Amino acid sequence: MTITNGRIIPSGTDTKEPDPAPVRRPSGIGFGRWWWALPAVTLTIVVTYMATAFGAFFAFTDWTGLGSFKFVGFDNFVQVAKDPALVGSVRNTLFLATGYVVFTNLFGLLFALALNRTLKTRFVLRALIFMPVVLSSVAVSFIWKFVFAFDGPLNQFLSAVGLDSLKQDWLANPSLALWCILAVMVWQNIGFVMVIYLAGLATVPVELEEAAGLDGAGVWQTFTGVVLPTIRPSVAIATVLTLIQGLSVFDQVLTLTGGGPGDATQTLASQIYQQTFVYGAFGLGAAAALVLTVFILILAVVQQVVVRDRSN
Amino acid sequence: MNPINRRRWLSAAATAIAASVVLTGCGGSDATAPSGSEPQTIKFSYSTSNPTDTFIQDTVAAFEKENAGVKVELVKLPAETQPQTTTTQLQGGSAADVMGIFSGQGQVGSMNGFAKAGLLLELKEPEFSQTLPKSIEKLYKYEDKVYAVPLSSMPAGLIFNQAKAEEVGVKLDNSSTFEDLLKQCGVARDKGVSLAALAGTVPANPGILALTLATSTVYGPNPEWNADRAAGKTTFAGEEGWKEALDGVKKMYDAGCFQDGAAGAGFDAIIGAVGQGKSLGFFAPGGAAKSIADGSKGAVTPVVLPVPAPGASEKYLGTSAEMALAGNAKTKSPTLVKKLLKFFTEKEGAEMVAKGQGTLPVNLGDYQLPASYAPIADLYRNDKVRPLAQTDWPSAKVYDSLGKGITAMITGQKTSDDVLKDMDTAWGN
Repeated sequence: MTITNGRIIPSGTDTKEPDPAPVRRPSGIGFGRWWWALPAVTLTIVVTYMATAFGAFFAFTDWTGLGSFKFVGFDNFVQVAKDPALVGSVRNTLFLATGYVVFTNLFGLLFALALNRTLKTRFVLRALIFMPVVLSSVAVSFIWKFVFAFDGPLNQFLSAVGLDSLKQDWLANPSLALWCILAVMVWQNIGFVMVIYLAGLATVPVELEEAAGLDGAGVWQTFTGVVLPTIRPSVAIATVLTLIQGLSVFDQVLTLTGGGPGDATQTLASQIYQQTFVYGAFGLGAAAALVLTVFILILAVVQQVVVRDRSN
Repeated sequence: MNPINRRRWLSAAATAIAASVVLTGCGGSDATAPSGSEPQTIKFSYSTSNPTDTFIQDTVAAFEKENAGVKVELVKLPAETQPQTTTTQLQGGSAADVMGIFSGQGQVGSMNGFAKAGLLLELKEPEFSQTLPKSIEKLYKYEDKVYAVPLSSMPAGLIFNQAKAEEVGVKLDNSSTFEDLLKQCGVARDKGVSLAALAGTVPANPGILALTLATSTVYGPNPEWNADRAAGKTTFAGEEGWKEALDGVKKMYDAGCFQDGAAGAGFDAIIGAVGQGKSLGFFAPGGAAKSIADGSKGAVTPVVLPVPAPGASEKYLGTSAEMALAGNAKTKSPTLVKKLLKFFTEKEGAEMVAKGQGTLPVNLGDYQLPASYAPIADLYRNDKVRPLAQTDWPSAKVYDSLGKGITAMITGQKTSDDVLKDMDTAWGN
């Protein structure tokens, strides 16, 4: 027995696809002319790619956002590599992206598995878990900022249960602030990942799981041997999307900590904003943005290679 | 294309051109512009830190009343994004005729950057340079030419709820020393309140506290310290006064002067703490005292206390004249723009702004200080006033390094020496 494209094919079955029927070209009006896409393609090139190319161009200049500029070669990139705050922001970005990919996917998958079948209240629970996804990340971060505040609900709760020793200035503690940001990011987006995995789980044939159970496979063996290989495309999509979101995290950082205390929670995206719009160093900001783009590109490709479906 | 189609096409094109000419003519006309003179309608973009303030509208209305036939269209920008918006508009050629900007250099939206790029109207008339006080003159000049006028002067200090302080037994006034201040922080703590609220996540707030201390320890004895720093004669790290100022903030933190959780607090925490009476004050430009009094409908009437100098330094008051007005170099009404700018610098206009904003005119003259400024009156009288230093720094990164550095100090990440070295690095030479 084999599985091909989600179909169970008994042993001995001819798996050769039937020859396709000859395609008839429609007569009269021809649909799907290539130039129909021209306006959209032109707009994409102008608005996205040309704008990006202009941004990349300024990475090699000392432009301040005003007046003229001169070319400075790779000076801005050297500064990105040398500035302790910028280097620290790269470290923080990688930490948040890694933690975000791992935890959202782990919890998203667990919730998806738990709420996939059987549970009667699953539809209500799915809606509840998905609800934070539709909220603005800035609004969510402000609420969590209130929760984490020194006299906020979290510390009040700790006091109420006699854990005064655990009371913290959560967002001002350099070793905890980054974890707080990660917690908010994960909390808000578990539902998003859960939905992707639920869609994937819907393609897992029940008969196959039952067959595995009859063959003596335990829960873990069924999961690793049947479920996980089938939902591999969902894993690929969910991890790539969460990686991109994690690498470009901005709203939560700016709202919760403003990059502080000191520069303890600065990320590449918050540094790009700061260098460009607070310090007026457009060249340096563009260089940092280019570094972030290359990061995302490399890591997304690596991840695609790691989680790609090798059966095809 | 056959001849009939070509004729139709030409006819359509001619109609379109004719229509566009007519429409352009309509759009370009200015009902208020007398022929042969410049348009008498101008645009003025501005922002106010307190969104309910109306001093710009009031002053402009007085100007219009004085100048029949003149129309000033006001464009209010959000205070948070005003510098970026003005920069983009100026660069893109769509800026208003008159704009609110920052004086000096370094910050996004500050005068020098715009003037260097040739985007501001030069104010050649002698009355503009003559009305600039000597102490802030260089903040309004680029290459010895005037490009902006000051809106007001904002004394910075401790915005203090004196009535509440007396209620809890805290005694702090304009004669208090730094040691008194530290002692009173303990008294306030014992009563369950903090002497001051600090927004550690907003670099400008710890930054202004450090600047008010450095005004006494650095700029009081040497008003030309920034010029010396620019000339490479001194450094932040090598200046004892700066170290004294930064260590002073740490001493205040250790003495419990700030609310619990100060390092992770935002401006909302300041407003909450002061509003609920959990803190007796906060460090800010003096206009905040009026905003609080207005906001509470007179229930709370804070005063502006000078921040005592740490160590043996004499007490000085820091004032900010960073809010400025400038004209667009591309304005079609340069005479009218200058007339409006002049109105803001003259006694009537400057006093209207000061009263409405809760600040002071840059040329104080016989201006009656409001009650909230009573504790700083002596410092004005005895010329113990210095401009806050950051408007003359070459990059916004220097001030940001100071503000962030203070938070890093009180969270144990950095020492005062580290912060001062960061400021030197941000200065760039």
